[in-house]
Order: sequence, then structure tokens, then C-alpha cells
Amino acid sequence: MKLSRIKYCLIFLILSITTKAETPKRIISLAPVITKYIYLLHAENSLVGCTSFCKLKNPEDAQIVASAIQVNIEKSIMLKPDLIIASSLTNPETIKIFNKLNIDVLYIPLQKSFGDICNDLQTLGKRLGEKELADQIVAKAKNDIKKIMGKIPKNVPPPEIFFQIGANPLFSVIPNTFQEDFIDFAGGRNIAENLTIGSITREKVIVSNPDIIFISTMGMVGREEKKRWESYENLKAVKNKKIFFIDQEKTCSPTPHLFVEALNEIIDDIYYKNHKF
Amino acid sequence: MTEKDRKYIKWSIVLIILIFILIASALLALSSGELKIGLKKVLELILGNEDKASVNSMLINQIRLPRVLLGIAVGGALSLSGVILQGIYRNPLVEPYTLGISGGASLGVAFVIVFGLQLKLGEFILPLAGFTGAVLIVFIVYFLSSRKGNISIEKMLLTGVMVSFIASSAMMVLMALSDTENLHGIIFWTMGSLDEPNISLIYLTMIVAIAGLIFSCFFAKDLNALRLGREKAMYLGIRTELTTKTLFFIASLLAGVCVAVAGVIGFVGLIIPHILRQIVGSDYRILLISSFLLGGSFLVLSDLVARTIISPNELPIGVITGIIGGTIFIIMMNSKKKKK
Repeated sequence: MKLSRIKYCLIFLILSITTKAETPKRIISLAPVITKYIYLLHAENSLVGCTSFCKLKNPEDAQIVASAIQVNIEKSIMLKPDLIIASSLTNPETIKIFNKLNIDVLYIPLQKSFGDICNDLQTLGKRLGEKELADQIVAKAKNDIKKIMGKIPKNVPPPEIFFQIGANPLFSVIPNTFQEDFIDFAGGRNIAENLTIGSITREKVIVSNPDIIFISTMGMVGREEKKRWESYENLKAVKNKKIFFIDQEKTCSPTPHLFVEALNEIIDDIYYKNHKF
Repeated sequence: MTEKDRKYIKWSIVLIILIFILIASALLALSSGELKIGLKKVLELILGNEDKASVNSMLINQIRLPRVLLGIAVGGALSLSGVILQGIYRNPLVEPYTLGISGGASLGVAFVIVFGLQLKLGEFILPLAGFTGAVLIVFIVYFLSSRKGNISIEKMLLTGVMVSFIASSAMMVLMALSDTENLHGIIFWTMGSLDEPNISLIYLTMIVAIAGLIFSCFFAKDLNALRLGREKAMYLGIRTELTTKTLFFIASLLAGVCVAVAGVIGFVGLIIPHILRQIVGSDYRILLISSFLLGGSFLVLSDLVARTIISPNELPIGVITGIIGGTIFIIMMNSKKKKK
């Protein structure tokens, strides 16, 4: 009995040492959303490099080694990273160079659903030795979503939604993106559900006559877009005052809890603001 | 019937056909789209016998009509600008964008988008920046190639091409430094679009285009004389320096306004004058007005293709003018060779 206990302790010790050894100490993040995840997982002490668009809580947390698309390879190497986290925006050639230099690269592809967002956080959590924390965050987000979805009134036909994420040209949320999950989870129907490319004609929106229009905020441009929709007085969304703004930060590169916040806002807007369904 | 009479009759027929094509393209563009609307209904909706708030009326009066008007104005103005510049430079390959106008405008717009100025100040800043960029580049080209008040046409062309390269590289610098969301905006702006919400901007473009046409018609004879070369034109009593400068100013203004309102729409200014030269010859008295009419029709039809070919998705219009225009051009060139 005693012997087996010692054995287990030994195995545990060896395992923890090996995982500790594998936990990266010098990380470079090549996308703003990845930097957000790193903060979420409390791994900012290991962060040494990031892009010029990453929002650092403290400017000294990391050095800038990349623009949105271009990576300064020399500067990255000089920071002696043991893990580089790349995204779909990173040039594949750059990733190949890091691979050649035997630097570990973790590739996080474009997130296509809320599930992807959770999986990515968990993958990253596992890699950064914060698996439990990642699992906790994900579990909480999923639980919150269940609660929020409970607010959706029963026996209401799915409202038709146009979710605008770009103004010039007009761009809509389309299926197979995590933004589509906002509409699905909120019990709505996307007027662009048959599209595979986001560029949409204004005619299509007017003919579809959506019940609700969401505009992912683009500052002044977003306000002008709202005015433009309001000039089509006969649209249902205009008549019922159902044109809403949604913070771009929440809808374009969300973490699980930002997703939850945005969904909560969207469900309130759809069912409880101005005109009730 | 003299040779002259025959020429005038031919010109009249060409003009009537071109006006007919323009009206036909406009009506076709007005009736096609997400909802097909009959021609009779279209006219009723425009002339105001219908409910203004109906979906049909919104589509015709607030979406399609402004686009058609802008298409005619921009297409006409770009072709006119092209034909004038080809006349001044006596080079059929010059078009408004060769002189760096598009490069300058794109640079101005990229600057605004990268620094997020349109988010703070409103969207009117985009055409304003485009126009400022275009005018600035034109002036730089102009001053670099003028010496003691005289401008060297050859130098101007080369300077234009080089400044154009510098401007597009500068734009790439801005793009390399910008956020991914901005990249999208810049790229699509450079591909052009006739979707302009501000109706006063559309009217302004129309006024500039028509004023440019009327004004340039006064110079038709001078442009004809310039075809012989600047020296010979001078012997014919043409004030070449003043004519060149004025026409250059008109052409730049036309192209600058177009690029500011509709983004970069290439090829129109190059292809339309070429096609017309093969049909009506090189006399500027007919070439100017016919370029305007055919340019307008071409852009209206290109826009129709852009918004219907993969509907409900929309393609940038610059892509369509490039593909259709380039193809027609190659076909025409080859058929000409065969005839010879």
C-alpha cells in the first residue's frame, strides 16, 4: 500500500516536472485576439512579443514585433521565444522560417464558431499549463449562454436579422462564422443565410426587409449607416426602431466572456427594446 | 452630296445610336436587380405616380436611380478625361490614371482610413481626401515638368508614371502598417464602387461632368490642330501652351472628382476613346461628345453586371470594367488585324 502511494507520488512528480519544463516561458503572440487569451489565462508574464494592434495592459508587458500582417523576424528571434502563436493572418512563409529555426509555432486558425473560440482557448490553456483555468472559463461561458438563452420568449417566430459588419462595401455576417452563432443562439434567422461571401447588395437587404438590423460599430461611419437605413422608411426595422449598434470589440475578436456579453445585449435588443416580439 | 455632308450625316447617326444605347442601358439597369421591375412600372415610379414608401419605389428612387446617374456622370467624365489627355499628349495609351491621379487619390484615402479619420469626422472625408490626393499629385507632376512657364509634354508623362509608382508604394507602406479591418476598406475602395449615399455628391459629379463636356467642346478644333504636333498647331494660330494647360486642368478635375466619388475605376478612359476612334475617326468634334455618351453607357452596364452577376453578392465595379473592357479591346484589335 505504502509502496504504491510512493509510486504514484513519484509518477506525479515526474509528470509535473516534465509539463513544467514544457510550459513556454517566452511567448510571442501574432494576433490581438491571442494576446487577449494570454491575459485571460494569466500568462502575461511569459509574453515577450506581440503585434502593434495588441492591447497591452502595461506597455512593458511585451515588445512589438509585428504589424497586423508583417512580422519582423529578426526582432522576433532576438527575443529568444520558445513559443510563437500564429494566426490565419500570419504569412505562411513566416511560419515556415520559424519552423526552420526550430522555434515552436502554435497555429490558431480562423474561428468559425463559438465552439472554436472555446476550443482555441482550451488548446492554448493546455499549452501554457493553464488547462484548468481555461476549462473553467469555457464552462462558465457555456453555462452563462444557457441562462441567457432562457430569456428568449417561447412560441415566437424567428425574427429576421441583418447583421452588418462593414459599410463600404456593405458586408454581412454569413454562415460558418462565429458571428452567425450570435444570430443562431438568439433564435433569429440571418437574411444572408444562403450567402458564402459577405459582400451583399443594399437591394437584397431592402427586399428581405429584416425585422432587426445590427451594425457592428464603425464609429461615425456606423452612425451614418444607421441614418442611411432610416431613410428607407418602410423597412420593418425602421418602423419598429429596431436598428442597434454592437461594439466591434465584442463582435470581431471575442473571447468567451465577450461573446457572452454581446449575446446578452443582442437578445435584449431583439426581444425587449423598443418593439417587443 | 459633298464629303462634308456625308461626314455630318454619319456623325448624326452615330450620335443618335449612342444616345439610344445610353437610354437603353439606363432603363435596363433600372429594371434589373434583386427584384425585376417592368419598364412601365419603373417610369411610373420615377415620375411619381406611385407610393413613395413602397419597396419598389425605394429600390428605384433611392438605390438604382442614383447609381445610374452616377454611372453616367463618372463613365462620361472618365472617358472625356481620357480622350482629352490622349489629345494633349498625342499618345493613345495615356489615360487619367497614368498621370498618378488614381495613385494620389488612393494614397489620400488610405491615409484617412489608416488613421481612422473617417470614424471621427464622418464619411465625407473620404471623397475629400481622394480629391485632395489627386489634385496634389497632379500639381506635383505639373510643376516638376514645367520650366520657366513652359511644360514639356514628354517629361510630364514620364514624371506622371513615376509619381504614380511612388504614390502606390507609399500606399502599400500605409497598408503594411495598418490594422486588418482597415486593409479591407482600403482594398475595396481602390476597386471602385458606385454606391454613394450622398445625393448632393452625385449631383455635383454630374454638374462637373457636363460642364467639362461643354467646356472641352470649345477646344475641339484646337485638339484637332494639336494632332499635327505642337509646332504645326502653333503655325495654325493655336495658343498651344494655354490650350494644353487649360485642357490638362479640365481633364484632371474630371478624373479627380470621379476617383473621389467612385474610387479607382480603371480602363474606361483608355478603352472608350479607342473604340470610338475606330468607329468615328479622330475628329475631336465628334470624339468628345461620343466618348462621353459611350463611357456613360459602358459604366452603367458594368455596374449592372457588378451587382447582378453573383447576386445577392456584389463585385467591385473596377474589376468588371477591367475584365470586360480589356476583353472587348483585344477582340477589336484582332478583328482589325484580320481585316487588314
